[in-house]
Amino acid sequence: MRFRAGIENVTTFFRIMQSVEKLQKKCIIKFTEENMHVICNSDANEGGIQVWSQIKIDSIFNNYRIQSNSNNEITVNLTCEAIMGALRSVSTSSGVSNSASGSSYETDEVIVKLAKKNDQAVLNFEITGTTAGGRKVKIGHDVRIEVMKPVDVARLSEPMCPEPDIHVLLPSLQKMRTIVERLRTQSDLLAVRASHNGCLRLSINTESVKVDTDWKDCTIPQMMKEGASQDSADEPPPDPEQLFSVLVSVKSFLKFLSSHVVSTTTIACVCQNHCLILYVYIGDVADAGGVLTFYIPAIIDDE
Amino acid sequence: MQATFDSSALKPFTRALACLSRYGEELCIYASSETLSLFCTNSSKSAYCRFKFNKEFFSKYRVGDPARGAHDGVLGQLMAKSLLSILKHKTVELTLERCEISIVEGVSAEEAADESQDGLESKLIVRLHCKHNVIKTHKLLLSGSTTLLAPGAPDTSNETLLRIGPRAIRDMIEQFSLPKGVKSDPQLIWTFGETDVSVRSLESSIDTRSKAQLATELAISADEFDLYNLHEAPTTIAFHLREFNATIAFAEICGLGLDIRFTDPTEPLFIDVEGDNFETLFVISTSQPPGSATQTHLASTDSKKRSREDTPADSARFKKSMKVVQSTTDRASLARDTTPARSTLSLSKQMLPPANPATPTSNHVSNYQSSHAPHLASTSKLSQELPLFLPGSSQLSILDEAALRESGLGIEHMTAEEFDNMLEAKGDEPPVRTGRPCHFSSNRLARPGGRTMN
Repeated sequence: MRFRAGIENVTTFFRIMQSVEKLQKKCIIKFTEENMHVICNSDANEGGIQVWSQIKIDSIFNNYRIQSNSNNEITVNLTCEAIMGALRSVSTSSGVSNSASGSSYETDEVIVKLAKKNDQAVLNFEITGTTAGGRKVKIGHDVRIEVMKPVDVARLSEPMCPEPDIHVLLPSLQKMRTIVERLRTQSDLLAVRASHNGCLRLSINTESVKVDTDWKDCTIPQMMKEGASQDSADEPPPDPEQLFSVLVSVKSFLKFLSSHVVSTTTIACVCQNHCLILYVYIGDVADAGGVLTFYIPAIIDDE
Repeated sequence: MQATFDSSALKPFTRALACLSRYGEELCIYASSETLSLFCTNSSKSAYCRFKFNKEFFSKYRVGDPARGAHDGVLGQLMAKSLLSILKHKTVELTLERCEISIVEGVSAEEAADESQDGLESKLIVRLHCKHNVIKTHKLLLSGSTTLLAPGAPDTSNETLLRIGPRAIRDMIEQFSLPKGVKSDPQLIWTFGETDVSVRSLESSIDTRSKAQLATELAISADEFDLYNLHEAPTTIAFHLREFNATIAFAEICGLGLDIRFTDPTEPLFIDVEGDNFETLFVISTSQPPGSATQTHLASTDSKKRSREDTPADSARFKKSMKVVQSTTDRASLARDTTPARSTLSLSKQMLPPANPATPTSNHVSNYQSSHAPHLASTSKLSQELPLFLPGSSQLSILDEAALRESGLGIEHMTAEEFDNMLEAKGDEPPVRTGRPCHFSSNRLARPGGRTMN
C-alpha cells in the first residue's frame, strides 16, 4: 500500500475539511486513482445528515501516486481537527488560515504520504518553506489514521434517493444562516419548500408560532435527468406555483449551512417527503473541482 | 505610594497587566523609591512574571514620605483582572489624560479597633483623569500576603543565551496546532543543536497508547536567532506554552526582542524583555523530556515536570517546581535583577532591608481625622475646576487641613461612622493618610485579592 502526492491546492483541501469538521469529529477519506472522496456518514449525526463528496485529484494534488491491493484505492479514517492542523500551517496566497494567525513562512512544497511511525499508520505531511529571513524551514506533521478494511469499505454506500422533484439555486448561505439560526430556537423541524417559479420558502410551524421566509426569483436550473425517459418531451411542464417540500431537522440544516465557508454555488434538490440533497460547489462550478454533497433525510411528520 | 502616568504610558502598562493576568491570578505590587514592580506566580508555581517600571516611566512618582523617614517599600496583593478591567476599558483608552495610582496603607490592628473603621486593609486607588473633567476613581482592596515568592538567581556558569525577535518565535510556535482550552496545557520540546533548532510537540512519537491525533516537528536554522550562544550542543528542554505565549504576545505587541537564558533542563528558563523605562523578567520551569540526550549535568530522575493532566500514574502532578520561585521575606529580592550582566547595576538599586513592622507614629490618629475630604466645595482649597469626585486628601496640604479645622464643621472630630452617616453616601473617600511607612504584620493571614469598592 503506497500513497504519495504533492499538494498543489491546500486552500481547497483545508476548506473542505473545515466544512466537514462542523458535522463530525472524524471522517473518512477515500483516495482512488481519479478522485478523493470525503465521507461523513456517522449514524450519530444530528438529524441523520451525511456528507459524500467527490473531488478530482487534479484539482488538489500533483505528482499523485497510489498503489494498493484493493483496486488502487486507499480508505482511511481520521480526525478532522488533526488534518486541519497539518494543513493550516501552510500559508498560501489566498490565505488558508484567518488573518490573525497567518503564517509568515513562504511555502515551497507540501508532500503528503502514507507512512508508519511506531507501528501506527499516519498520513505524513512534509512542508518545506522559507522564513521571513530567507532561511529554510521544514515542518513535519503526522496525522494519525486508521486504514479501513476492504470489508468496511464495501459497506460504504451513498444513500438511495429518487429523482428530485425540483432543483433550486440557493441564495447566499450566510444570509440563510442568519434566518435559520433564529428559527432554530422556535422549532425542531424546518420545512424547505421550492417551486418552479423561483420561490424558496423556509417555514416552521409549531403550536405557538408559524413563520414563513420567502426568497423570490431564485434560479431553477434545468438539470439533465440521468437516464432521461424517452417521453421527457411529452411530460407536462411542472406547475410553477406548486411547492415541493421536505421536512428536516433544523439542527442538521444549520450544520449544512456552516459549510458557507467553502461554497460559491449551492444547489438544493428537494425530493418531496424523502430527503434534501444539497450540492455545494467548491470553487468555480465550471471547474467542477469539487462538490460536497449533503444528504438530509426527511422527517415524516404525521400532522 | 503615588504614581502618575499619562496616556502614552497607558498602553505598555495595560499590556503588562494583560500579560500578568495570563500568568497568574493574584498580582503583587511592590513599590520602592526607585521602581514599581508588578509580579505574579501561576497557581502551580511553575511560572513567574515580573514587570519593573523605573520611576522615569511615570510623570510623578513618590513612595513613602521623605519627611517621615522610613523608605520602606510598599507591598500589596490584588487580583490582576480587577486592575486590568479598570484600565483596559475602551473609553479609558480614548479619553484618558492621566492616571494616578496610589496605595494607601491599612492601619494596624490596635488602631483599627479604636477607630472601628475598615482601614485594616490597604487600598489601591486608581484615579483616571479623563477628558471633559471626568474623573473616575476605583478603589481596590489590597491584601498583604505573608509569603512573597521570588525566583532564585541562576547559576550562570553553563548558561545558554539566545536572543530572538518575537515575530520569528511566534512563527515557529504557530506551526503547531495545539489544543486550545482551559484544561489543555501543551508542551513543546526544543532541541538546540550547533546550527539547527528543532521543536516537537510533546507526543511526537505517536503510539497506539497516546491519544494525540497530530504530531508536529519543526526544523529551522539557528540563524533565525539574533544571538545564539549555546553552552553545549545538543541541549534539549521542554516547557509548557501557556505562559510562554503570553510573553511572546507581550513582546510582539511592544515590538521588543526576547533574551532567553537557560542552563540545564531542570533549571528554569529566564526570559528578559527590556523596554522604555521598564524591564521584565519571566521565569518558566522546564523539564528534560524522556529519552533525550543526557549531558554532563545529569538531570535528576524526578524531573520537576509539572503536570496538569489527570493521570493517576503521574505522581509529579502538582509538584511545585521549586526552582522557579521560592518564599522569601527579603523584599529586596523582589526587585533584584537576576540578570548577571546587570548585576552591577542592581546593586545600586538594592532595596532596603527586610520589612519589620514599623511603629506607627503618634500623631497618626489625629491626622486621620482631619484628612477627611470635605464634600463642601466652598471651603475647599482644591482645584479651581471642580471635579466630579474630589481628590483624595493625600493632596491636601497642611494649609488645607488647617482650613478644614477652621471651617468649623467639626468634621475633624468625627469618627468614620459619624462622618458616613452624615453624608449618607456610599463609597466615600477612604481615610487617607499621607505617606505612612508600610507595616504588614507577619501574623496577618493572606486574604484573597481585593474587591472593587465604589
